Order: sequence, then C-alpha cells, then structure tokens
Amino acid sequence: MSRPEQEAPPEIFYNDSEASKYTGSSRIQRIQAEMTLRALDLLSLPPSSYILDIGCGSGLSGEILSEEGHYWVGMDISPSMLQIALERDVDGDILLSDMGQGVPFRPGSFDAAISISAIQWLCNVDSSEHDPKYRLSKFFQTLFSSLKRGGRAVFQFYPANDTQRDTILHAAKVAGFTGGLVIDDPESKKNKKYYMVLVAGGSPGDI
Amino acid sequence: MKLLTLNFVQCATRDCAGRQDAFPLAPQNVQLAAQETDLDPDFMANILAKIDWPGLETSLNQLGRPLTFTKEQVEQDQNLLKELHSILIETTIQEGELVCPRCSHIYHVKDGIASFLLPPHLV
Ligand SMILES: [Zn+2]
Repeated sequence: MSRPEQEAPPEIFYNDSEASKYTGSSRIQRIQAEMTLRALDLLSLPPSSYILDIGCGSGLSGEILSEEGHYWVGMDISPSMLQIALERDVDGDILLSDMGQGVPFRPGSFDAAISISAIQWLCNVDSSEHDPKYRLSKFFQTLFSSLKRGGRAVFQFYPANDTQRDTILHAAKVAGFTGGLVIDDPESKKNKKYYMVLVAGGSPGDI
Repeated sequence: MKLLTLNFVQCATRDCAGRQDAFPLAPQNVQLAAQETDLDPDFMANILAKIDWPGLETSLNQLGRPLTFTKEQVEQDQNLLKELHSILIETTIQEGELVCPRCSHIYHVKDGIASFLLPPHLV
C-alpha cells in the first residue's frame, strides 16, 4: 500500500478532490473519531479545556473535541482541507500554518495538544529548504512553549519505520518533553496504532 | 479568526519567534463578523486565567472598540462575563491583515482563516 506522504507534500496531496474524498469517507470518519477519543483518553482533561489540534484537516477530530465539551484551535497546511472545515461549520478556530515552521502561539496558551495522523508528514523532504531535523526541532520547541506547564500532547501517527519513529521521539525529548509511546493492538498488522504521549515539563505521571 | 485567538497568536518569523514584543499582532483593514455561540462559564473561567489582558486592551483599541471594564470586574459580574464572551468568542475577523508590531510582517486573513505560512527566508 502506498503512503500519501510519499506521493506529494500535504498541501498538494490534499487538493480539493482528495480533501473531499478523505472527509466524505465514512470509514475514515469512523477511524478518525475512534483515534481522537483514544487520544482524549490519554490526555485525561477536565471539560472546557483549550486544545491545539495540529494538522486539524477538515475538522474531523475537532468535531469530536467539541462534542466532548472542549474548545480548540486547529492548524493545517492544506487550504482545501480548511475550506471543507469552513463548509462543515466547525466550532473551532482554524489557521493555515505549516507545523514545520513552528507553532505561532505565545507561551502557556493551551491546556493540551492533539494530532491525528499528521506528524509523519514532518519527516518529508519536499524541497531543498525542507530539512526534516530542523523542522522537527522547530516544531517541538515551539509546541513545548505554547503548552501550559505539565500540559500534555498526544500524537497518533503512522511511522514509516523504526528510524522515523525514533527520530520523532528524540526531537520531542530534546525540546524538553517527557513521555513515550503507547501502542494499541501491537500484534495486529491492520489495527496497530501508535500514540506518542508527551508532557511539557512537570512530572511525567503514569505514562 | 476569533478575537480570542488573536490574543494567543504571535509573530512566527525567525527573528520574532518567542519575543514578547512581537505581540499582539495589529489588525488592519479588517472586516469583523458576529456569530452567536453558547456561553460556557467554565471555559470563560479557564480562558480568563490565560488571557493577556494588556494585549486584549491594545487589540480592542486598535479595532476602535475599547474595553469598558477591567479583568477584576469581569471576575465578579456575570453580565460582564457575557460581554467578554461576545467579544472573544462571538466576534471574528473575516478579512484583513494582522501586522507584527516588531518586524511589520503582514499575515493575511481570508474567509476567517489567518495564514501563518512564511516565505522560506523568514523561517
Ligand atoms: Zn515579527
């Protein structure tokens, strides 16, 4: 099976037709909802939290956050995806932004961050200006600062291989995060899911 | 973009990232819109602790809608909390520009979506 992040950069891959195909698929909606609920589980937040959704796309994960009583700001690099989020009238606020250029929020803005199926895109090399190491470190440093102390971030992602998985985890730790990986259904090739659970300072708790 | 979000974004350019004086971004040539939403007192209490109040005062002065109350007054008065909800959550910037007070970089807002994509030389 081919991986979308090997075909084209996200803002090109998720053009108008791919974005609407993606959002309209009931299978994708269901899987996204399940993974968002699982990520929320791992965040264990009080209601009415203020959450950053990284790679929010058309707002499939955001809708779940709203249903669970939270408020969110989403960032995504694909204008087509954000256009669909607008048409679907999501409750969150959305920004056009490239996570590899950093998270443009002042320190301590958010109670938590969530990211569903997006962070593996950071490891892409789309042009000579895209140094994945620099982009990963810029991303995690600015994310760390944008979270309140002790705030959690949960990333569901699809690492292409162990090296990529370790590179991402290493970049997060260098930026000051503690935490690690939670793997659901590790024995199942089809359902295996990776969640990186990070804490911005404070105690790592029970992860 | 909600006025709430304006109180949290800051300039993302290489020279400004993480600098306090790169905040708040100044709205310019903006069209505002209002969208009714339910008031959630718990969220307002949460957000009241996070708001940069001087930054909010600056932004509202720039928009020509100066605040008529202080943070302490909001904490004691449900009606003011409603008013703050209407300012922060129900008021959105639909079109216009957000200008960094430090490096003057301009971020464009279209259809209510602010673009923080930077040209490579500013990253
Ligand atoms: Zn600036």
